[in-house]
Amino acid sequence: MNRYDVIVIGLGHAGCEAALACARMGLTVLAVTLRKDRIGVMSCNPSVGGPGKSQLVRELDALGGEMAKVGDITGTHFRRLNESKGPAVRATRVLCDRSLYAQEMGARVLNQPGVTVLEGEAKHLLSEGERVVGVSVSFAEHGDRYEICLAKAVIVTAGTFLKGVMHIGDWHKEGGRVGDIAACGLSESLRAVGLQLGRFKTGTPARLNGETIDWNRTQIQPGDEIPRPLSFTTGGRGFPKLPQLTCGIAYTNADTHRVVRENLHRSALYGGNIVGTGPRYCPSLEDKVVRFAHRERHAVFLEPDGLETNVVYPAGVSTSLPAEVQSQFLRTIPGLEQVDMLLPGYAIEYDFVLPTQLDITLAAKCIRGLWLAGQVVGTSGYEEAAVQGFWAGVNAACYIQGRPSFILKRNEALIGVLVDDLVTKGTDEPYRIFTSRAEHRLLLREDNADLRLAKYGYEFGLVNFLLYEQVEEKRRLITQEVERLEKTVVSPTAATRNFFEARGWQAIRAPSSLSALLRRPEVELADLAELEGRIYDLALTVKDEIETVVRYGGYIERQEEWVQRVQSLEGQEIADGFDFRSIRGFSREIQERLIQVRPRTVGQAARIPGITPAAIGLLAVHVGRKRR
Amino acid sequence: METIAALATGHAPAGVSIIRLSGKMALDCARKLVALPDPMPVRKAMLLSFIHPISKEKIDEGIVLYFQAPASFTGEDVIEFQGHGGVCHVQALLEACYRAGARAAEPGEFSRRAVLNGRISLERAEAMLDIVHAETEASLAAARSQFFGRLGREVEKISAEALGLRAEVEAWLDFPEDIEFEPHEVANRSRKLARLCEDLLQTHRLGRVLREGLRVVFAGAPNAGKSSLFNRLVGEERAIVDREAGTTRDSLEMSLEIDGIPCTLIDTAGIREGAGRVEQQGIQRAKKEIERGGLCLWVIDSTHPVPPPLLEGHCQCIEVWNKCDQIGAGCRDDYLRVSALTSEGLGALRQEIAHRIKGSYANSQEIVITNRRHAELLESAQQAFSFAAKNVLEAPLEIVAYDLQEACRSLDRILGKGVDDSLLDEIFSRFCIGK
Repeated sequence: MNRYDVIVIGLGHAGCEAALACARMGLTVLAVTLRKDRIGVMSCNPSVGGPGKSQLVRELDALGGEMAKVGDITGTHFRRLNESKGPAVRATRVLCDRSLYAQEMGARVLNQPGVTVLEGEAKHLLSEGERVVGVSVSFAEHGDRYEICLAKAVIVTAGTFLKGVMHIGDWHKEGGRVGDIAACGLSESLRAVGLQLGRFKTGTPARLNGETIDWNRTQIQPGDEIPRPLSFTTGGRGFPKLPQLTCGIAYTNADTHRVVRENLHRSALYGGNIVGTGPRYCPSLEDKVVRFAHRERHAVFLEPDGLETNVVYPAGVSTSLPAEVQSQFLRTIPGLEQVDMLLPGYAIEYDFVLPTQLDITLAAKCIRGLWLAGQVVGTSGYEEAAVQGFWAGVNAACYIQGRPSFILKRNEALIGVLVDDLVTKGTDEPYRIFTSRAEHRLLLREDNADLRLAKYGYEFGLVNFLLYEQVEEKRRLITQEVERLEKTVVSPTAATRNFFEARGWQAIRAPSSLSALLRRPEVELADLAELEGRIYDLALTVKDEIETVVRYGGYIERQEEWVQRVQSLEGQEIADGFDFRSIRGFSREIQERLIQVRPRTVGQAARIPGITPAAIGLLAVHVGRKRR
Repeated sequence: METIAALATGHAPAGVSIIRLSGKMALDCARKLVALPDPMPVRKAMLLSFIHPISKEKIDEGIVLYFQAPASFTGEDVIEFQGHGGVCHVQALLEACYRAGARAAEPGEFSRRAVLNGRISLERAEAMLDIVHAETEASLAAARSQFFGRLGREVEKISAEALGLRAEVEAWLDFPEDIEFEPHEVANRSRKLARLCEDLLQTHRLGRVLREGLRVVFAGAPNAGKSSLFNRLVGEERAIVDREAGTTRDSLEMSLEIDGIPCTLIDTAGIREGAGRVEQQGIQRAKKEIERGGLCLWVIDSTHPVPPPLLEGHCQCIEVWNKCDQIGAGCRDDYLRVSALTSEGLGALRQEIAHRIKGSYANSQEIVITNRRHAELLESAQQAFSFAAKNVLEAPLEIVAYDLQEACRSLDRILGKGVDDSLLDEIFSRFCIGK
């Protein structure tokens, strides 16, 4: 019998972060995976980041997580999105070499002192009274042989593997991913400890042979000229490490849509073979053709899988049509007329645990010692999974070490928004992050994630002192420079008039501070340097942040004021075991929701769907009076 | 908690009005308006004079009552002023309280403090929160229509449209590669939403004007003929003119009715010192009146024209070109030309005043916003929509999204949908102010 501090079940994006965080916080970790050679595999698209997601990844990085670092090392195409739409929605997306990514992440987990990786299937949770105490692991190649592993905490990060069923047309097969078996025992075990499960679906497109694509007929999309890394720790000469690749954009047309429409009845999604709910923001091509019938074309992003492979991932056309139909519709697309399909796309259905059964640390409320994170609690996306894995890992470690829970507030991190949404509101479809889910979006920029969060990573020993000092130095520089710009005043002399007029800008008529000038949309920090006749010896990231702080000053202040106001509800804590039944005047439905979610604060209660302002008023009065 | 003040009785005018002050500083505030004995006796009615803390004018005379915490309605120190119920008295006394350091109470704030301080039992609180019961009995819709009526429906409409617009902007941020986006269209739609808010707001101003009268201030350079024009207008209407009863101000404030709107004309001509200062004072006065929802008549001497100053905000300013008789045809046709001497153009001036006040909201008189908080929220929504319209063409899109978010938040708060700290305020706001 083996004893560990923590057992992590599943080594996908959530599991890797959970295992690494726990081990680095000084715990012994057993990580159970079905296949040791498939740790950290990107099951769907070969990229990390994008709107909302890159904020998550950079927050995770600032806290000491791994995803951004691995993404940078294995990145083959770096691109900034929303460049002109403002710093809070600006996003970085990195196309990675799929196999190198998994290799790199795998190596980090396998080489991490404190982590033991065990290949097998975690079949049953072992519990003792109200506490999970371990897992029984079985080994397919050894018939009935199983092993009992004990731990103080178990983190389930099983992804889509719980009773996974893949669908292609009317063909279906059990499995968690193409080439991998599903995990069948664990669902029952989760039910047995009192958790309620739901069923979701998601899909993935075919994989194409890049050598059979006529790239000249596609719109070529190179990466950014000056690539920006995901991680705050990446930089300098070694970046980017790999040769860079270009992508192509192709478009569907009326023919494509006709093929899809004519074969709709053969789609697993439309043929009624699938019961689970799919994500609206990532529709299959079938969905696109049916729901957006007026659209003449849909973009297909052709993303190469890596340097040493000819596999291409066609983002935008996930499908569960029969293989021959997939091939047929693909070949109607200009550039793909001769394309060879290497693997058909498929839909997958899987069990997930309704996330409102978790507390804010992602621990199950019905039993102690059990955490769940990632796709298994109803989210979608590598990034969403990774940050939850980290969150659950750190909290499991805090639990074992007797430290207070690690909770990021909604105004502190997009990660905090994600977790709070999940456990408070639940989700009807695989949950994906959007920047608009954050009511304080302007505060949660990908560029200031380090300033916001590195202190926590340092506190947990996940960010080293040197890095922490760098962040603090950055903060000092920014504060100093912002102050200087505020205090330095330019007068309307002939020289300054020339400076402005040479650029076609309106000259100043009265003395003006440099920060006032920077607030003009056309003025950048570099212009001020020239105006002052000096060199601003500052890193690019520092300059960016200075520009944001100065330009957005008023808006940031207003958001912070709003945060302060919200804090008053957030500050009204509801005691553990508060009896929501004791309040007269709640409808049955409201009472049930409160009992299910068991909010920790009146603020959290206010975010539960269906809870009315009046109910919150009543709750606040009761909570307030109880305390008095 | 801050000290708050509000009218505790019904709307002025009324026979007697009670103004209530509640909070730690209630007694200190009161001492700034009334010469209170020290120590102040508790629960004892005292007849005293109310003095404005700054101008030192006597506002009124009445009863002052002191309830010491916790034995008061709110559980805090409470002062009650019982005075005469005229609009001017009440307004002046409230303003005096604000000057003395209190702030205007939010609707229902007294009741809320009473609950939080345990002065009202839970059962009573629940009874007061009858909206909760309404929900449980599925009669929410009825309750809501009682509270909001048509205003609610109008705001609901604006809110729904704003939400649609916001969703589009957000989609463009979250799915930059999938969505097409037309900034000019967003600007137009934001402007339209701002206008819808503005239309509703107009009804608030109209309601106030009809209730409290319109204040029309005569301003302008010295010797522009303000006083003559003032006298001429008043004189012409002498039949229905009367000095405002009980006014403490001098005779330069006169009441008359213009096209059914009760007006108070205010002349700024009494000040006759250095030219620069006259103008300054005129401007200050005009600004203040406009802030109060009034109207400025900027009187210009056609022979020596001085243009009106820039007035901020919802500037309601009419340029009046006086002494037109002296320059004959030399004055432009599109100016409002009058002559205090010959009475030329006075009819047109009266028409213009009536038009400015009524014209813009002639169509929306059915919904009159009476709640000051609703008006403030609408105003902030209107402003946020205007910002969005402007920013969409010159600022990063996330700023536009922020503006729209703010606008929606304000509208939601009118509808009681806001999910934030002000929820408590929302609920209690459904009670009449000062209750």
